[in-house]
Amino acid sequence: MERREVHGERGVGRAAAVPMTETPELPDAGGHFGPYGGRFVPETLIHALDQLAEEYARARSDPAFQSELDRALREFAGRPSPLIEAHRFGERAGCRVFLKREDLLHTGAHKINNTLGQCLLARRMGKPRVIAETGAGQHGVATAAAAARLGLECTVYMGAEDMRRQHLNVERMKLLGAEVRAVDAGTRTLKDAINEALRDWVTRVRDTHYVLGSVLGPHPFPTLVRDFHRVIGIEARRQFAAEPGGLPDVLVACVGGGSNAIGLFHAFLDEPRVRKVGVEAGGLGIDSGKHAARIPEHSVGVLHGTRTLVLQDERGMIRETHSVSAGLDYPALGPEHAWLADRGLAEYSHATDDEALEAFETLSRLEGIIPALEPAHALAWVLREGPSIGRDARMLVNLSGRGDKDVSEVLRVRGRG
Amino acid sequence: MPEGNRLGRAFAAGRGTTGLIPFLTAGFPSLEATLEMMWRLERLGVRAIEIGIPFSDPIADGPEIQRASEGALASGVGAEETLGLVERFRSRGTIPVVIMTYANPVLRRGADAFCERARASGVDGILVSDLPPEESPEVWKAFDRAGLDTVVLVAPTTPAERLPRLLERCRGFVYCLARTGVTGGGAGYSGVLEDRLAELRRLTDLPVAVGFGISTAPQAAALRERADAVVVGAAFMRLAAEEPRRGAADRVVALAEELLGAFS
Repeated sequence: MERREVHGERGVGRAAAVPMTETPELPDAGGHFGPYGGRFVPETLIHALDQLAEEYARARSDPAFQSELDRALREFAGRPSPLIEAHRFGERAGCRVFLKREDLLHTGAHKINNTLGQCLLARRMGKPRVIAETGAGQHGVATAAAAARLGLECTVYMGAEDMRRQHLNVERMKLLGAEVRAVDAGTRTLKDAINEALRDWVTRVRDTHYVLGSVLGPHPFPTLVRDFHRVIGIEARRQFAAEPGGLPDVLVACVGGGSNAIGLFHAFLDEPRVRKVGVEAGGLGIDSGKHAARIPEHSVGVLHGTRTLVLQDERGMIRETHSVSAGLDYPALGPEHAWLADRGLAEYSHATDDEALEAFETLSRLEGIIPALEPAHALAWVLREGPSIGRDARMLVNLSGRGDKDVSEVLRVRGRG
Repeated sequence: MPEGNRLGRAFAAGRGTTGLIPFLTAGFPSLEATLEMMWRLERLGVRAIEIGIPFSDPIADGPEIQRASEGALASGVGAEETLGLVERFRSRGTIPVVIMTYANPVLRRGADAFCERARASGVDGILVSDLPPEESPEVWKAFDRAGLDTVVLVAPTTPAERLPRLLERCRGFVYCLARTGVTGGGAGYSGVLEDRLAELRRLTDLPVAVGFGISTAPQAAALRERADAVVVGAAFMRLAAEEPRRGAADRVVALAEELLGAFS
């Protein structure tokens, strides 16, 4: 425990450092967070996952890898991202609101933290090709950018419905030299894009690394992706301590798979006084059945290589989800979130499409910042709950991405496009 | 033990020859069609039948079995209906039946409840595509308690040092993948398969079946006397998807006949 704190301290002190010197308590050797996580994949992938876990363990303790990643995060991604107080938005919400500006990173979202890390790992493993799935397109763009920078061939799988919703990002990926493959199966969204990416990986596992985009999938992905995003919380904690000082009262982040939320929460897990709130996509309302909130039903299942909370029917078939935000439109929660929820170490709520759209417009008008629809769910929670939490409460919201990609979709659903 | 160990007896009876194990997605194009296929395939002399439980997210399957899975799901076929199908087959069918499934439909029901129902339905073996031997020991124990033979996959990417662990977990027969990738299509097996088969023979007395990417009689013939059985699935499901649907069983049986011809 003592050792942990020492290393944690050092990580906090470094400008753009990802604190990989710390030994996290979880998962266990098999990738389990309590009853969640693990590795539910075809035998063909086991060796590649073992290789990845081993290479990652070596990279974590390799100063050369660390310094290359730090440099890439600083010079390419634009870390550290600012932490600002949103005064006018806070006034509306009835509390003080601080924004961690991951939307200002290169490619427009926090996703770049992870793709730089994983593409560097792919290069270390001698794999010339990377693949990725994408929902909102942000992870696809971030993978394409990192791959371009490192000279890796890149293929991105994207649901046909999401390609329609996020057309701008499709064009960005192509400009960055990636091939974008439309997935027409099933619900034509993120879930089916992951199915197709996994099938590609099973087929070309020898020369291909799968840059999984959230804290999901088989071990070691939930750990690896979490660690690459921990920089968000570490920076935010240091920045908050400097200005306005102390610790925030509440951390708020949207949760699809949950990568930006885990990245923020993790640096505060040793502080039970800091509330941690993950906001799922409430879609048209929980009662409508058209949503992507996994916590209310608390149904345990296996999807895409991990055991976690999923939306499924009584036969064990994965259900269709709905959200106005493509990045949250996914039936499984990251396994570590499921564990944090069970242990009461973080709490989870949801915001509807309408609430998120309202928050999207409110932040744009009051702060001059157009948020992505995903973090607009976190902002919606703040607008809803802020008044009851109190004027002096200090909320730190992870503004995980910018909303340029969402403008045409918002106009469409608002009937103005 | 009249019920037990059908797989062991079937492979013992066929020793020295290569058998055919057709894979059928339960309920595609209909449960009645699958049942008819099973009975007719038994009469043709296949060694065993693999029955797939349809799943919403079949990550190890190519387009043919995905389509079959979607079709079966749309008509309401899940784990319960699949086990009910095996039960009906057992009213007169005597060849071994292996259930092929993804983990979630089993876990959703509860591993023990699933196994009990499977055993009572006359299922002999189970192969879970996305459950490696290290994962969820309680589920493997449930399979053992129910006396289900746990068929384990060996992939071309499986390192030699991992084989003992897989074989230790394996009952009934070893399912050796001819190539990496999803089910169906592909260019058949590659040269590496020879080495893998030799390796497996050194390490185990269990019968070895070869599958993935085998769809034609010449491909099957190339495995005669090398493998104890050949598993063919996607090719059958491709035929089952053709029109008219009512001819599905005839087309499936015709291909099985052709494949069996390659072994004689």
